[in-house]
Amino acid sequence: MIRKKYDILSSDYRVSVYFVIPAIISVLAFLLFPFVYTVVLSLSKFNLRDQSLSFIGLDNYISIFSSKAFIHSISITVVFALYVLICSTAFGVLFALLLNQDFIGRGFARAILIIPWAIPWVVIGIMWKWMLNAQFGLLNGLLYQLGLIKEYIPFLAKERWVLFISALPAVWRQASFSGILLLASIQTIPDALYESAMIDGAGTLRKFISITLPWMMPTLIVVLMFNTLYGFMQFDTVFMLTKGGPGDATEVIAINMYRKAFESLKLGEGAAIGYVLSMLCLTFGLVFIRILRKVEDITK
Amino acid sequence: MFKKGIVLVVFLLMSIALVFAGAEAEGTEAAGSGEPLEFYGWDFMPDQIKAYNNDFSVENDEEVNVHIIPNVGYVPGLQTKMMGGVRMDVMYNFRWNQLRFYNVGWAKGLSDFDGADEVLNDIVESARPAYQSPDGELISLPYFSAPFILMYNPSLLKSIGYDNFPATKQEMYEMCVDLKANGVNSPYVAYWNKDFIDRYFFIYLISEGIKVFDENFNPTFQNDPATKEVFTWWVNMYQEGLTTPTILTDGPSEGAISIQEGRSAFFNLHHYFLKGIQESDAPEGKNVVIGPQIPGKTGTTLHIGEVLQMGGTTPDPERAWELLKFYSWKNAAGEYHVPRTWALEAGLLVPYKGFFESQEIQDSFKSWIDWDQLIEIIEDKSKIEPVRMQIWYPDWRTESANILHNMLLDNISVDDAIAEIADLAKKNKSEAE
Amino acid sequence: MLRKKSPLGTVLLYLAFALFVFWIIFPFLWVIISSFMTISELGAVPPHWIPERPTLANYKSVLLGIYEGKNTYGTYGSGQKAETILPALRNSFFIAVVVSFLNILIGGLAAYSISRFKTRLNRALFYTMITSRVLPPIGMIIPFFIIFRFLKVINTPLVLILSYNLLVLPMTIWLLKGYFDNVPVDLEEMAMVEGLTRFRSLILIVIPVAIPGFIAVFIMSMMECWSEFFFALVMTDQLTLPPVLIGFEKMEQIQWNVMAAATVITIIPPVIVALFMQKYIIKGLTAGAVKG
Repeated sequence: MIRKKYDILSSDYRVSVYFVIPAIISVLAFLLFPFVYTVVLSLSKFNLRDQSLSFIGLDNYISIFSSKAFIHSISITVVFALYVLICSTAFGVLFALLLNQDFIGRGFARAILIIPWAIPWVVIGIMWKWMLNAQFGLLNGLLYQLGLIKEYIPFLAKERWVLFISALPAVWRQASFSGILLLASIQTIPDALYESAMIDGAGTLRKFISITLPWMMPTLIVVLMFNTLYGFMQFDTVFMLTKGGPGDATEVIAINMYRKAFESLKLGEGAAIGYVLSMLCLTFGLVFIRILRKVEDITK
Repeated sequence: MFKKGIVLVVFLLMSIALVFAGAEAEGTEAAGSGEPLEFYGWDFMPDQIKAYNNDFSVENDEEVNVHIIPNVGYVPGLQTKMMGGVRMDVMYNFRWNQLRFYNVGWAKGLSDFDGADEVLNDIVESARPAYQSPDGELISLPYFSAPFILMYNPSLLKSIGYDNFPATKQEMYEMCVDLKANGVNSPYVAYWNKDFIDRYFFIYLISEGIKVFDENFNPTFQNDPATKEVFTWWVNMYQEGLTTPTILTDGPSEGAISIQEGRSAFFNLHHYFLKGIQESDAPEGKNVVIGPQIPGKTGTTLHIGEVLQMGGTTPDPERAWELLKFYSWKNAAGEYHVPRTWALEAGLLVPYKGFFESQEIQDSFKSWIDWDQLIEIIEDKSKIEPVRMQIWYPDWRTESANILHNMLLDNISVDDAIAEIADLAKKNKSEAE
Repeated sequence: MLRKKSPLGTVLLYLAFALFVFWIIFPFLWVIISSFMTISELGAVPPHWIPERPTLANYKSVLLGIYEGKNTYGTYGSGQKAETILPALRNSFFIAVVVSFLNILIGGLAAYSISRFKTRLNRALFYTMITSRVLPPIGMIIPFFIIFRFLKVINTPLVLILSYNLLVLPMTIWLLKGYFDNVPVDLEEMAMVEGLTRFRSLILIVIPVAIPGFIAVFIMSMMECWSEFFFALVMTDQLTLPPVLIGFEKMEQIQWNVMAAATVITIIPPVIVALFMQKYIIKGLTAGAVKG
């Protein structure tokens, strides 16, 4: 691709700037002060009495990294985020492929894909909590009545599984998000491409790998990035489901941050934790994008 | 390009300056009588809350704006608004938060207001420390209070041959084992998730007469040999499946459902849950009654409650005081107007002496709970733990919950848990000083 | 698609369809069932798949403010009518639609520019937008609160419109950039050769082709607004549905069945919008088919 050097006076350049000005005003203007504030906050002690900040350098960062609970929550969050992003993206791809096919009831299927997306995170947390309940939950009821289990399973009590299970509500919502976007992207694939592939004798798998996958790659990258984001940042569903327990098996960084900022009222440390989380999220996101870009180049 | 860079840098520097200047500019509202009072409460019976404030307005020729914040987000919502400089005259608060609010000036001291002494004297003596700072300043008034009781289903116990209420924890343990063998799959239900397990830490210990913290809030429970017995009992209750399996993550409503469906025989929670259970029309709802005490040597239980405070920066403290008195205590005619409806509709109590004398309230309570038993527990068998109001308490609570969970999950031994929790308390306390 | 499906393929397809429906509906099933139940039936084991004593009481409570039966609360003293969730429903809808339109407008322009003109400014903008999404909300909420208090928009729909625009725009721009990237530049260049300006070629040529993308983004942005909780909690007094819904989770009572009824009502508008929109996607595809 040839990179054009734009002459500042060219009308093209002016147009390009005009087009982005509304976006700049809507987002960056609003964000600048809060962003600066939060950075400074993470380097300060927040005085509750008059809401002023006293600069203390990196002390907040030092103290959070000396907390065992925080270090532990980092590994918990990474694993949790991996569960969320792998499952959401995979399911999203499957849903998109499915809903792209021709079958009776497709319209209905496409409409219900939306449902998880429309429900607030906190409510999703509560819903899954009741569904997974060890005494009267619907899932246990179903499995039991189908004869698949002899006894109700306490899903949220099993230390080994609880982190994965607590990722499911997030996956439930994010798979729909991924599905919608991926579906929209593969719908723009021209039929002609498939037809010529068929003429060449390509099978289903071949068509997927050489046509569908590359076509959705840009969207896939976006989807992956957002699933990573939601995975790392997740608070509401985990908090409603387990409050970080049992023990600290599901104590993700966001819950840690919440307790620091709102229960201990150490806002400086809370902001510092927030930035560590942001960095973590960005790093993982960028790594994935790198990987996918490489894959994109290969399949081109 | 260069010019744009300069503009950006200037803007950045201005932002930083603004940040350090603090939010003081927005803090003080244009003060003045004539501005409506601002009332903040959480989302329990919001229409009732609005009705009360309306009653107050009518009676006092006042205006009150009512703001409802959902329970789940109450603390973040309230604190953020407070820090953002919003005017608050009267607000709900949690007992664990009230001292901190007072210390940083978000809540006002009340001792010097007209009639404060009268209100204070009407509070049951054993409950008074719950509304005062360590120096004796009145910092809040009651919203409601509730003792933790052990509800139980005597007919379930009878069906397997037990005619009595367990006198000791060991006895209750044995009853639970038998119950479980007979199909009651979660005999004992409580609320041991990370936000609540601290209550049970106290209840289980004080019901054996163990002194948990001393007058200076130093931990003393680790020195009492009985503590180890209690904790061992506690671990056994969990490990042997005598509770709901998800007791470490459940909320209170799941427990209530368990006992009203007959899947549990013991339910250890605030007294007012019994009203819901009795009125639920569920299979065993009507069979659940209040137990005389917590099984143990002294049977003492924890008396909890949440509070009302006055905003620290309110420009109209006198008017706010009138609203606070009305909402917590009595109206102009001397009636317990607000507490009365809470009692009739939801079974909530307030620790005011005069309140307990109302025949109407007694009759209403008697329809779902043994009133005399309840009074006996409140007067003789419950106490408040002042340590729970200390400003280092939330930190200790969060981390000790982790330790307790690990103990119950058998990841650490009882001895280690006791030592760690005690050390943690010492550490948190000294850091706060 | 003109493809003969093998019988095995068809079976697998419908099996996948069934599993998909199960995955979406099942967690939600309990919400639907329990919204018609009284508290007495909530904990039944095995679960009552069809309520034995069905009731519309929960819906009456949340839609009409009428409370009946025990374990509920009525008004006392001043005889005020209980509030329903209808105002919140209206607000949520209004805010979601306004923000989504704004997003498409602002985001569409910006995304087009970023996609077509690879200037340094655009690249910087793009990456800043994306990273803005990872900033910690807890630290940012106080300065935001201060800004909006200064603008005197706290507790009005405007504060949420401004906030949500902020939250959703990065996503919108990112997605639309992706779509515009997929629209071959030749189309516009051909149009410009024939004398159309950049702007007109955008409107007449590019947009019609990217409509599926716009619709997806509209829906997505609507959903974000519909379900956002934290800003609504802090900046308003239960102005939109999420804080109202979560208000049913109380310390003093079990209100799961009432919350369930409110939740069912909450998803009805988005589902209707989705039903309507997904037909549009197909229309857009067959009517303005991509030129090969």
